[in-house]
Amino acid sequence: MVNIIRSLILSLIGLGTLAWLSIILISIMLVGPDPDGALTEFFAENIIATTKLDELGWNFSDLSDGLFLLVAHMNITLLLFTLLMTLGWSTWSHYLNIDAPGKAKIYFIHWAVFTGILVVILLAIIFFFTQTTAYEEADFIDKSGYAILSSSAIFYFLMYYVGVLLGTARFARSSVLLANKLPGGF
Amino acid sequence: MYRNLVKILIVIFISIYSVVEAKDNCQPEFNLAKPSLNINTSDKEEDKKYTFVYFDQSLSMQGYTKDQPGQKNLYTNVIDDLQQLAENVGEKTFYHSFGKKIVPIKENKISQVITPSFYECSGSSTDCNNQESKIHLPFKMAKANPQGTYIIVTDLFLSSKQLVGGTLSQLTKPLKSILKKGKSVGIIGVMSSFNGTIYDIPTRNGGTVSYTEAQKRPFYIIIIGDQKEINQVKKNLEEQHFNDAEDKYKYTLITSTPILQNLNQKELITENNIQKISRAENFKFEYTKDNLPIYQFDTNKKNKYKFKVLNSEIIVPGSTGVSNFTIKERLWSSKKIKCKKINEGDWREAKLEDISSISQNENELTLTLFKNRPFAKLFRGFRYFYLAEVYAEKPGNLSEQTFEDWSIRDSGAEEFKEGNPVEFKTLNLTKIIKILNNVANDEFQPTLIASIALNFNLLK
Repeated sequence: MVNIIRSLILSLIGLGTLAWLSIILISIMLVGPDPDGALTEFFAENIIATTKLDELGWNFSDLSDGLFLLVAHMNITLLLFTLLMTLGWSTWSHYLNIDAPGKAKIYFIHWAVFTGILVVILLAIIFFFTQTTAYEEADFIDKSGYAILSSSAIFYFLMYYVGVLLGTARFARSSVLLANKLPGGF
Repeated sequence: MYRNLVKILIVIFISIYSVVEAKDNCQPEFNLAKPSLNINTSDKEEDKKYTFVYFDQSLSMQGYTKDQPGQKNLYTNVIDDLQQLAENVGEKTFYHSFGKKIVPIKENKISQVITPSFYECSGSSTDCNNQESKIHLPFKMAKANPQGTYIIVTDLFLSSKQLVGGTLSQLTKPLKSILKKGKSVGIIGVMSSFNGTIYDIPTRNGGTVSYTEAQKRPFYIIIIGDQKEINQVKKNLEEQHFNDAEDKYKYTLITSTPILQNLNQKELITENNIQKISRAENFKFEYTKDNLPIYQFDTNKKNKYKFKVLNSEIIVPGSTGVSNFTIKERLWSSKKIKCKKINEGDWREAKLEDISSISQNENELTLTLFKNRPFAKLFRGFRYFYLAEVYAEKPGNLSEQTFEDWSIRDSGAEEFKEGNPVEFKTLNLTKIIKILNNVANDEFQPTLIASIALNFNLLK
């Protein structure tokens, strides 16, 4: 049990190396960014269909609140799922039946499938927020905006990877890509 | 005292509530184009009108008055009744013949127009009125007194020489003036038996020849006046004379206003003009005080709507029609979708100009709504207000096509004659119609046909 708690703490530390960025972004989005700030400008230039909006007689600043809320909600969901999956793997790794040398490598398949599921879920979350009718503001996002927002899946994957790298049970590290290269102190 | 106070409070409450309700108009502020068409043209003068009938007295007309065995003579029957029809149109009718000049016909001589003797002349050819037909003369008379109705009976056999330069302008100038005054020119062509000589058929070497073998040939009744009177004459002729399937006749209307009516003025636009729209969620159809029909509904991005109008509702029958329509369109959007919550400043006007498209086939005019800017390219969660004003922009050329098979050009006349045709065509007929149409088209003004508005919420 102590080992599991130790794994979970290490996982949280691993997640924290990148999660702080996500938390700051979410906070800014929820508060509402500076209308003249760099973030607003980035959204106006890269995320939303500015021309379409302009043709209809609107400015991004008229409609930005809803879109920022959408992005905040999406990131909260992505963060929570990443957290859940990272801690889930870290816990599960302690229950893998590794009773012979080299057997941990077999569990690489399990890790790969688990990671694949995470990636699919991350992409599905992004799709749900940006391409369905759940949020009306999703309509403002154009193709390039969707591509940029989709790439945030990479960020959350990295967060997960660092988390499981540190949090996977020591005897099961061979099942995680490159985890066995970590120094023995971890 | 207390009861009165309560009554006053109730009245004040109702008044305030009514004002609040009245503000709930759910549309942006805009100026609606006013229809340029005046449907009720010159009815007040109706009883005072005179009718002037002009008979072409040229010798080529004589063949219509002689029966041709085996062929139906419509000329004598139609002209006989035309006198009656003319008298029904106006209060008093005046009869004239025209050739080199206009000559009044005495009342006791009118019946002679369907006899060969009317077209004969015993004097010298220079004194006779049957050597040429100056068709521009009745047009000049019509220009001088536009209140009257003018009926001209002729074979319309005009050589190319008569359709150029000064001779042409003698015809087009009065016509322009007539059309400017809101009058129209109806041309009824009737194929009748013919037993006589057709003169002045141009040859390739610049001369002319005659032809005597024709058994059938069209004659024309040209009516200058209000569309209503022209239609009355045409309708009566159709009912009385053109009953048999073999009776061949053609009709065209030369007018600077081929548009029958503005559909908004009499509130002729209904919810059925846009198919299936009444099935949309929260559908409502109503007219504003300015006669603007508004279709209010909820829709999704997949829906497509077409506004359709029958040609017969907008185009004057027999006229040139319209070859080009344009749409003046405006689109507004509001982030607030509930009408009660929308303030005037919540509407934003789009910078879009090409939203819908318009097309016409032989039966109907179709406005494909949001074809160029489909709902899929609009943002969800907005209320939209779309205003479309449909204008007739350019007249068509339907009447030229109508008479095409009865027409022969100068260049082909000799060859046509050498084929010994039984049914002889009219020289330069399409050219004449084209000239008349061009004059009418010059006078044509873009005309507002219909204005409609869509007020919709774009949902999921």
